Amino acid sequence: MKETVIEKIVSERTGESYYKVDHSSGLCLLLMPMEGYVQTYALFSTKYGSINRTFKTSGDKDFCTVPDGIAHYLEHKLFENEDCAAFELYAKTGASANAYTGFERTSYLFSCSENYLESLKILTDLVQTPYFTQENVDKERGIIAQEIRMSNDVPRRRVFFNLLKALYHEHPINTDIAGTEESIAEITPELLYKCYNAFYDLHNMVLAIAGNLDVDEVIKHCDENLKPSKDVKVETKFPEEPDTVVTERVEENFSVGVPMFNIGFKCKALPPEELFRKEMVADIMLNLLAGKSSELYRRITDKQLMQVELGREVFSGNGYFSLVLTGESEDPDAVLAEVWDCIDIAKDKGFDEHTFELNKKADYGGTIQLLGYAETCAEEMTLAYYANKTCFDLEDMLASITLDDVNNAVKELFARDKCCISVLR
Amino acid sequence: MAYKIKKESSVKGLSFTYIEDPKYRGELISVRLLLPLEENTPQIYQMLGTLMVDSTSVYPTKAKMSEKLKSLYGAVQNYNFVRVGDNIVLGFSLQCMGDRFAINGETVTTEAAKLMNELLFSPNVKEGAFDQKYFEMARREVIEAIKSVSNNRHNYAVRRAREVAFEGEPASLPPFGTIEAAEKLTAEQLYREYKKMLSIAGISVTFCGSGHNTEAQKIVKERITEFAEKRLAEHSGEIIDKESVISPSPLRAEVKEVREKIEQEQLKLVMGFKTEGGDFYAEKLACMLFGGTDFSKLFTNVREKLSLCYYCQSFIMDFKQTMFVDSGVDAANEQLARQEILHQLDLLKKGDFTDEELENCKKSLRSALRIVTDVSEDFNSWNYLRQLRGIDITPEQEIALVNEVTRERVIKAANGFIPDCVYVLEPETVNGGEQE
Repeated sequence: MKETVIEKIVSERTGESYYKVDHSSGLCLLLMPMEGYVQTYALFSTKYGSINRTFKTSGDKDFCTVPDGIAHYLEHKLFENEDCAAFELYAKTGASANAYTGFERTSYLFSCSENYLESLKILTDLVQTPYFTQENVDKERGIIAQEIRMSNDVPRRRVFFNLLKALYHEHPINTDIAGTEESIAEITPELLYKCYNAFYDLHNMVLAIAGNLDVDEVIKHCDENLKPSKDVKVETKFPEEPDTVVTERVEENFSVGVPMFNIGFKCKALPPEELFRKEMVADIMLNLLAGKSSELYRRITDKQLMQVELGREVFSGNGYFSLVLTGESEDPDAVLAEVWDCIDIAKDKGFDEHTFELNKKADYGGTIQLLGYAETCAEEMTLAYYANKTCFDLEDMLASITLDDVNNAVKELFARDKCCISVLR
Repeated sequence: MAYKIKKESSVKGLSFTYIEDPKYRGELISVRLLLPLEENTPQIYQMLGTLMVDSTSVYPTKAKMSEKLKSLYGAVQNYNFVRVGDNIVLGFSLQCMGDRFAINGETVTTEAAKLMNELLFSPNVKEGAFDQKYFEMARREVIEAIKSVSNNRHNYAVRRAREVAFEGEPASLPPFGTIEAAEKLTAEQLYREYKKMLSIAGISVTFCGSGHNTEAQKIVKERITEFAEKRLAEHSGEIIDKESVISPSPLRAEVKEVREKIEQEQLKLVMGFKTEGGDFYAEKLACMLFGGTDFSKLFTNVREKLSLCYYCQSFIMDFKQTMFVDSGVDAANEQLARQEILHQLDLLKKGDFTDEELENCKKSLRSALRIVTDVSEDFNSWNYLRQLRGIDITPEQEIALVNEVTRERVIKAANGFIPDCVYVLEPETVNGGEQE
């Protein structure tokens, strides 16, 4: 068994710090004690989400493909043990607990104000002790079917997934995280164990805890409660994704008061080491393009197309990178025309340097304030870890971004033949 | 307990709260206006909220205001609008990074304090009317919000249930008002309403920060106190200065049921229950045992055992002494879900819960109360809601009150909840689907 290695990570700017612990079990621990905080917030994550559909481990000969929605189903099932649901266990400690599945990550969490080691024991036991039977897997199907229907009734979600289907031909990002009622019907205890054994290897996981904690106590807990796991080296295969979009327009009727729209720009997917910085650059660029100080905002409000600024998101990850603008308007196509006009102007003239510097300053302030919440500290440490960074690197990376970076991004990331609009009426 | 809290009220209709904790990284200035909820007020206050944060006479365009906020390291200026009992609270907040983090040693907080004063007292007004362009934008924003009210089916069902439960009471008024009323408003009229609003509002100011923002506090305090003293001389009788805004909704003799249809896949079911009890902590714990936690009777039975739904939860609108259960179920299972919800309430009324289950609810509540002091925004909201109940209390004192609640009090509180209404939002095409 390898030795546990502890590294202290310090912010040069603020002097704040956290610990990265390469634990002997194979798990990485990210621990941020926060002075004066009552809350302990723990986030146990595996690098496994809905897009990890086709995979193999180092022990498998061939790749296998599992039904859509299985990562989410697995999250539901891991949230109970042989005797009861996790909620009943946490009830005894007073902790508030939850779990969620994303495209690329599944996380289990709790928040509490006392006896955090008791809650941590529940968390580490649950995640390490799968218990799937035909009966308990079947029981969950009805609940998840209702969750799928509930999500389908949320227009914001419908318009977004319609966009993803229109942008991506093959990549599993085009499929709802929870799958469909048909795909979850195929899920069996055997398939759940297969996914669990591949992705819930501690080498593929990270435990981030922030707030009221003692680093030595947590490490001792892990020494005593984590079962060393073999590094199964799971590999996910993604289908070849064409550069083109599937369709430039998708519309659906769903009786919404004011038409909702998502405009997506499909960009070239990036390798993990380039992703983090490009996301930051793209984020600043979208703020300059569509924020309250922008020409685009002035136009869409002057022309009464929208009253509020466009929503903006850099939507990116393993094998996908898109920019998404969202909003509600009686005339989404007129908004799209203004968006293109302003993109063309930005490509031609570049953005204003003063506004660019102000945006960076605001982003710096935002980063500082984010680290005042135990939840966001745990989340930021996890995100940075998966990007092979520290959460204090964000400030340095932000400082390194230049106006040229942003002006180049606007030229690089927007192409007329890779744009799609999804409208829900 | 690292925080310090201090309260002052020297002028009628004005109070100050200072919450100080060295761990807070940001500084928060919050000004809340307690106002009457009347037929034509929702759209007026929604529009005023938008107009007042979007621009002022000093920063007369949204672009200029946005630039100013960014120059303060991304300070956030916001408003919110909450219906509390039969009143409205229009809240304004300005949150910024603490001065100690400023790269060039700028004093961010005093600039933020000046902005808050401008927001309140220097609106973007010309010749007795709000700027016409921004007025029209605010009007369209309200109208679009009214049109989009059913977009989120879940929230819409709860909103409609509230209208059914509080029929005839101010609390049933729609949060954005009506399109007709919004269309009739003029920029001149709205400015008159702004002046009226400031002349009658019960004003509560809260400063939350690390304890280094005394200059900012002084800037806001002096300006608002000067205003409050002046208005006291002019409008003394009209100023809202309530001890408490609790306004229980009367019990109904018969359950009222309303059914509506909309395009959707899942049926949304909301059931309302009212009480005349008023034992706040016992009712809160009864609600938690019933459906307010992930180990409650509704979660364990309706979701986990019967697999009828993904969500089935209860919550209390305590200012109206009304509890709601909301759930999303398959249309074919509506009656089954309704029967089970009522059955579980009946069991609770009969005391069918263990001491351990009650203690677990108390633990959960205690934990939430302890944690509330970690985040300045949460502490600020928590404190103000107690103020509106007419209670001066700390989280630690509230924990002691929770601990005192007995099993008997919970049973009595549960028995106080009488079925009041049912609101059902059905799918236009009934699709039973498969159920296990």
